[in-house]
Amino acid sequence: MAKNTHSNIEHIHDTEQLYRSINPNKNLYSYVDGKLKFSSAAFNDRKFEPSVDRAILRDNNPHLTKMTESAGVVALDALSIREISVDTPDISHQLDPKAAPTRGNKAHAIITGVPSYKDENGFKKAKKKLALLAEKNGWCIEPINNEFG
Amino acid sequence: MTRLATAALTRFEFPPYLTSFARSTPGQANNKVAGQFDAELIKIDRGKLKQVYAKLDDMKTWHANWDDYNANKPNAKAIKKAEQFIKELFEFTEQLQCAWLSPNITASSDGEVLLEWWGKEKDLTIYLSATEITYIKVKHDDIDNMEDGNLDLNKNIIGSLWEWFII
Repeated sequence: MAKNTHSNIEHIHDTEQLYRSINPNKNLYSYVDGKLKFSSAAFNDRKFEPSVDRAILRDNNPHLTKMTESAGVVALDALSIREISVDTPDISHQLDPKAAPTRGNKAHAIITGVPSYKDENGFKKAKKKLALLAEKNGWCIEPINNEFG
Repeated sequence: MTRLATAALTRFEFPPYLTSFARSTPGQANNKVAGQFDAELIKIDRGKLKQVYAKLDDMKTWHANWDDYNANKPNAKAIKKAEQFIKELFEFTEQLQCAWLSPNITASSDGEVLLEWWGKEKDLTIYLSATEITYIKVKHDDIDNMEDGNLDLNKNIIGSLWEWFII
């Protein structure tokens, strides 16, 4: 079984936390009757593979994931993501976070659909489910947004 | 009046959390107090509508990478289509004298406009591109059975989705 250690850099263990930075200024979240709601667009990605950071490779410091100083951060656990499936007319896609280190960010990972989405429709449902999952967890770091205080 | 509209008028009841947005039913239209109440709420709703259009207008100023993840800037034709969609939906709610709620407004990576309504039990998401409109509807207690599909700017089709959301 994979261990949740730095040495196991290629596999994301189920217990790992994954950070996602969320821009505070473009209506990517709101509060409805005091309840935090995330837009599906909080998980936008042009390749249908939203970027996240592996907490364990960010010293469990979500501040290091913030794309801007005022951004918020949510944390999702890998197992909850893997439990998400998305049905399209032809096939069911299972979500799976995969390590995707870059030169500047060894913690970088992506949330893929398995098998890959044929078109945007499956990904739109996946984004919605990720937004609902993020709502359950709430902010890891609250954004700085004048509109919501 | 269409069958859909008739059905909505005869069985429309607001859930408790929407009562503050509710107007009187047609049967109350001759009631003077209810009438004044209606006029006041219509005025409030018009104000909300202006805010929606202002938010859509603001999207024209968003630049590429507005979400920090390399998104395209919102498509001007999609914004125009969203304005038309809002107009059709608002007119539907006026005709049926049913609740109007302003959506969350943002965009996708490809420049589509997203209109999102978040309820206590259901969420409705509309994606508008330059060429098509799609929707996703989900009940919170049954998220594995999300429904999606295509729409056009037909008031009754839009209205049937709205009816699903608010009832």
